[in-house]
Amino acid sequence: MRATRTTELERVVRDYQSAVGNYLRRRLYPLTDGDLDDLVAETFTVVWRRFEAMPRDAELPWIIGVARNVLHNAQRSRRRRSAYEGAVTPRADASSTEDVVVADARVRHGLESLHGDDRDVLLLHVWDGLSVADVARVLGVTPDAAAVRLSRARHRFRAFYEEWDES
Amino acid sequence: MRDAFEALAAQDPARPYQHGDPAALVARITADRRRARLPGWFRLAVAAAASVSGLVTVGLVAALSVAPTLPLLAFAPTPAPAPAFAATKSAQSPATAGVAAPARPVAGRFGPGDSLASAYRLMVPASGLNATMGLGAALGVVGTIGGYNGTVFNETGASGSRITYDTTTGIGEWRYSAGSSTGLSPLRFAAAIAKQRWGYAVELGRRTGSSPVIVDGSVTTLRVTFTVHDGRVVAASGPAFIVTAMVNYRLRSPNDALAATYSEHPTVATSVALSWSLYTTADYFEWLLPTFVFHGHSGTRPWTGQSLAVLSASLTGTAG
Repeated sequence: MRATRTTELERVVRDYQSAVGNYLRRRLYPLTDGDLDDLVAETFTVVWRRFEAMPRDAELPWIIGVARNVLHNAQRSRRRRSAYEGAVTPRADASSTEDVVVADARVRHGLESLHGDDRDVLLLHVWDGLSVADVARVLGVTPDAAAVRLSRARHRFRAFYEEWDES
Repeated sequence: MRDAFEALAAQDPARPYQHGDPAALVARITADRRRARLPGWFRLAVAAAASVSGLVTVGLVAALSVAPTLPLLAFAPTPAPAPAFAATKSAQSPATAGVAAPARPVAGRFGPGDSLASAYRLMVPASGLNATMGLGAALGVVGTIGGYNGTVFNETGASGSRITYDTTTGIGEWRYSAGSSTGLSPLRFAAAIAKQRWGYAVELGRRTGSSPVIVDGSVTTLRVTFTVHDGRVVAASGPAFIVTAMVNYRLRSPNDALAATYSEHPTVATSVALSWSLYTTADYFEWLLPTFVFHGHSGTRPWTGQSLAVLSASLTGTAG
């Protein structure tokens, strides 16, 4: 039984490590390869702990959801450590990764116009390639709610993208 | 002009990724998840008793709700006496902002860390469905519960009030939002929260705010937040957990903690209080560990700092 479960974990790691690694890389920057490996390992460790809960017909969005929580925990711990190490008060949320990695000012302007949740939806769809149904699974909302958020995010992103004045 | 979404896709920072050693990763996960390596700044490692020879475990003091088939934490049996607070600089020579030299705390004598304090191990409630129903009943949200993957539950009442309960992180998180014309009286909200297994001290009469979560009579740094509009609580959120174990730890000196954490900053601590903060240990369990919360000033500005109070000999790895 355990061997079967281990074999199944090997498959899951093989099939989804790239998606998980890139999901994390897109949102936490800069990351060394070692740190990225550690976060991927942490994600799959949680996956292993909750293996029975993983829906076989929606593995990727479920695993991305786990990675999303690992990421949030890591960001919280990072902020907490910063506070420990001498910040006078804990910092507010650091600027989003996209603000750092996106070189196209017009795209950055569009992303900056989005509320965090809407930005999540848009990037899960465009960068991570998830369908609306899968985005809904990651966020734990209904497909209708995800569709509404995505539509709103697309509309707002396009509007701000197109209004950008290069000058 | 390039389409907005083509431009966005072109900015994707992803590149081919392959874990450095997936076979070792699987072996490590399946052999002993407690050994999974984590970057130091992500996790504070706390030794399991069985893994550190020569250390003495402190008994499980109490199992508050779940059978304690849990690893115990460990600490060294004979900690060195902690020095008393060294107040060697006068308050008349405050450090100058921008000066790199470490500044010493200049006020207060916090004494040696020779006392014990409890640490609490937390788990998510066993049934998310029951927890959601319980929260819904307490907060007046009664309706159909929708679940997703056994980790996220939503309950929406007839008035549009809504409870969301999420257990995908180490402890549960709940959110409440009132319907368009509803909301709870602050008094009822406070009473409802007080009935939960975890304790909250909700200050009434505020428009927005947060109040500390209290565990076993101890004030923690976890908060429940709430928003009051037109005299009604219209939104709130907070953690949800079960305390499964309680272990006593020997504390380090507040002065040691202060010096270790803030030695490079021009801070002056004038008071210290013991609180409890959430940590994830190397074995992926969530703990409320005793922490020192310092108050003082940095130059002319008020300053608050925080440092783990557990004696460092009790820990493997560090927060840094």
